[in-house]
Amino acid sequence: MRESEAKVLKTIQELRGKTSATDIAKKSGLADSSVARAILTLSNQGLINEVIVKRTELRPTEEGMICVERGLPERRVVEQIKLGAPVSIAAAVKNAGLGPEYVPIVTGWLSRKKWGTLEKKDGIVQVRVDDKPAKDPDEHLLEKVGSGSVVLEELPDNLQASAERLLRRNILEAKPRNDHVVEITQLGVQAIPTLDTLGEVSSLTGDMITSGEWAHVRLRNYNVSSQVPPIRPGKYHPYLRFLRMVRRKLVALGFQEAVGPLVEPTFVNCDCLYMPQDHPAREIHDLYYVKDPSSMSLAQWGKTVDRVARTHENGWRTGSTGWGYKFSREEASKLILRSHGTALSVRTMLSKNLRVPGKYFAIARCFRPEYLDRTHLIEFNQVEGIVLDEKLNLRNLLGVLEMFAKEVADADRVRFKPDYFPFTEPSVELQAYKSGFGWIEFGGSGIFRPEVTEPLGVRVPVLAWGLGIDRLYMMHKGIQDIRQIFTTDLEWIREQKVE
Amino acid sequence: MNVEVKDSNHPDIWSVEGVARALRGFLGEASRKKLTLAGPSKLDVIVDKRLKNIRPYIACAVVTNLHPSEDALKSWIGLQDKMDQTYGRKRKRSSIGFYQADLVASPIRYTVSKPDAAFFIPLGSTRKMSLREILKEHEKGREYGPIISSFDEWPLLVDGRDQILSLPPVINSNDLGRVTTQTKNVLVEVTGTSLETVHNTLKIVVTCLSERGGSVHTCVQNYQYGPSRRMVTPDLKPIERTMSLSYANKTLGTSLSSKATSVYLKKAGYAVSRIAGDTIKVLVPCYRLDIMHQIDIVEDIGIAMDLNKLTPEWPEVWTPGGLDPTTDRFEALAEVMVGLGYQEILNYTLTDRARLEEKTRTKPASLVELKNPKVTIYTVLRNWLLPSILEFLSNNTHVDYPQKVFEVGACELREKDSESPVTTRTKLTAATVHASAGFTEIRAALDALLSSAGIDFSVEPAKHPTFLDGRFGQVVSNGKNVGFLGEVHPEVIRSWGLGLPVAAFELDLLAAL
Repeated sequence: MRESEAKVLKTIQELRGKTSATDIAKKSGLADSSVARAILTLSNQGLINEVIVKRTELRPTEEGMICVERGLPERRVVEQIKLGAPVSIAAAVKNAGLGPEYVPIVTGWLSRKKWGTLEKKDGIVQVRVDDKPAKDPDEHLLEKVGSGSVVLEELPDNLQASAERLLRRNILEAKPRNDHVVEITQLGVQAIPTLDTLGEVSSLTGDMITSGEWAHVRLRNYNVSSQVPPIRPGKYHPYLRFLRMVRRKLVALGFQEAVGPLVEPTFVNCDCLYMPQDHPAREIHDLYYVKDPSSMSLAQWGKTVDRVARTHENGWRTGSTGWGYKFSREEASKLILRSHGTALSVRTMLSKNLRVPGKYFAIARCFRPEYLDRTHLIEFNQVEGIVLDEKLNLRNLLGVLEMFAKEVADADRVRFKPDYFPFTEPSVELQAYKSGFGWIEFGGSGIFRPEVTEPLGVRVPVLAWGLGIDRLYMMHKGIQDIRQIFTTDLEWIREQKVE
Repeated sequence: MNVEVKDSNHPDIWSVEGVARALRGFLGEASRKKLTLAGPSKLDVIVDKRLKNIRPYIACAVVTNLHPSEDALKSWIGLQDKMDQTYGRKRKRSSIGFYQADLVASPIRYTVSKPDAAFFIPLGSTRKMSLREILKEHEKGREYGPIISSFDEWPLLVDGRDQILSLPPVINSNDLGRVTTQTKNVLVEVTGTSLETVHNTLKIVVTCLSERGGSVHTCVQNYQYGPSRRMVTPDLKPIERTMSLSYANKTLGTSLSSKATSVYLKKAGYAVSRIAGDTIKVLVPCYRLDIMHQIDIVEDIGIAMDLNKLTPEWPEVWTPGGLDPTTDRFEALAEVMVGLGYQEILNYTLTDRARLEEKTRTKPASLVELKNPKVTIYTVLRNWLLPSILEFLSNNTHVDYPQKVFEVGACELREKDSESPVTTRTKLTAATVHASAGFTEIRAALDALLSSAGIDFSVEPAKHPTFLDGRFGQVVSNGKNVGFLGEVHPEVIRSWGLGLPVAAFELDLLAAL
């Protein structure tokens, strides 16, 4: 037996025969790794037993964090309602600052928890709350979870039921936790007195080799079939590994990568893309505006700003009617977080280094004010690009899309549908068929409108495309919840294979 | 058959009537219903000059001989709502009202009233209310009231017998403004702040109603201000536009003859008035609000041909592919970090001040702050990476140690320059966490990384509230601060719920490379 193993065995006995690896290391002064090694050997020899105690830790999800802070949706709604006065659920939900998707959820819980009386009036579901409902077990549990780690198995029965409810509602998530405990066996206790009488040599040293002593000692036989302590390799993040693959494929097809800032003036994100300044997609619900700093000077784009303004107002000399409104430079200089990758294509076209013919792509981090759920992220990546050349046409756009579907998505077949974007005409949606998945929507594309390219000084057709890369990654990994892309679960990340 | 209507700029197909009209062409039913006017109605409109700065425009029409089913009514209300929300910009730019034409007496006066001077029963209510009460108590009043509430006088639509039709753009009256399956003749009214939008909206609504067999009659608007005193609405004449056949063929990658082009144009709902060489004169129906450029007509030819009948052709544009030079260099650094046993991770760039500052013991800095955050945990863009890494680690206290992680990610820094008040800086941050993690280990990793990248540097003693004094240093290269490293302060470790020593470095990659 090695010295470290003897020390570990003695330490376990001193700690009343049952303890954790961390405590052994602390008490014995041995390094974590040698304790782990010793435990493995000792348990193989039957001197100690390793016991794994499985525990389930409850934590709030992203949505749960919001509930911890503001209360459950039904509580937030009840807080809004005047006692004794029936109101429409839809209105109460809206007043509580919740999206319309919460209407059925809140309706269900108000009724199940008997917090209010539901009735239908003129086809509108109304609710009446007579007394302010007291805090219920779900809320007690949420409060506990909000203030620190909670273990499911240690909860009283009534809170266990709450835990199940909140887990189902995706407000809490369960994280398995393995507590490792080792205990000394009868054999181990008997081995302790004889520890000092062992005689084999365990490690072959450099000195033994040079002096030739190795030939005269008895090297202990190892149990080569036994497990060793794990090493965690450094690896790329699985999603970033996937994006690297996409990047490689696009470079191989002759595309040059473009990069750009996350904070853009609406001029670049919207105006250059011929989105009118009162376009619904430019409202506060669809763009993150920056409070501070709220705007920037557009001087670097000089005359281009005038041309874009006139194109919006009357079509300038693009042959278009324009949108027929007064363009505001103040609106154009407002800062926002980039909301789509197409902003980067605009950056590319605005650049002095733009080459025609040219092919460009970008992987762009984009932002939209959404509530996080299974299908929405507030921060996500888009893969976008453009092809510029004098002789390009719609059939070339279809050719580009077909190539992506086959090269990037590994699709069997493609089909095309008309689509709509304010900045492309014609616009085409790409659908790709993958066996096992069926038809999936895989990208949006089009030829930039003359109202987009001409003011930027680009006089050739520009094919613009964007790929639904997150969807593809989720299929590839068998992920159902888009939030998994930004997972903070190190265990899951470590388990992922390097495909 | 499955018809998908995208949220587009095509309000003419935002109703089942419009979709039916578009389909008729595609299904080969050549005879579309011709859009004609059945003559003037008996209703005239007088526009009060006090509306000039409030909600200046109105356009009306009467559609007769309707026998609306429940489904038809549902479709019209749906169209009205969609038009109000989208094209009408939530009723700010335009809003639509339907009335029982037979109950309305000419002349209709589009006028104004003090909020407490007029009373009527709003749609969906049983009680007579003042305009002010409607804005305060009625659901629609609360929703759309803000469009008019800042004015001293509010728009009001009154008929020749002083009956109130509506409070535009908020709510109709419950008697005149309630259209049912019994209503044979409908008055359509659109008010708004843009003359073009108001006229266009009326066209969309009446062409929808006429698809149900209604006859469209005009109304005369008499404006008591502005240049054009008398306007007859609606105008259903098509607009003639010029399209170049060679432009269409070049854009689509086709070689269509003018004859074939005419067939596709017809299928897509256009008429052709004249063909002269390369020039085709196309008659665009009045309801096609989306046609701004000949490219819009060209797309419709492509759709009429069926996109799937066009042969895809990979463009023979030979260009050298490549990564951005910065990506190339960042990738090389990531490769070394992985070789050092660090796991790459990915975090959001949005965060909040509590995580960036309070939980790291640092003072409030000038950050890029959102005007309209959706949740309180995402209100600013991060200006450094370490908090993201600490948050990640705090979610993994149950996972086996040692934990070594790194992230290459964007941080947003404020600048004094008005032309670029914010710059995106890519940083690389690494942390190691285990029972004996410390300065030596993280310094060794930093040395390995920077020497692999060929960067000369030195580490100078310094202080940082996030790190332990005496165990923190600035990374200096070519006389510039390019980063820092050290052992994280125990208070910071505890504020993240981590129970083990943490050592970390952070590098500003653009400065370092």
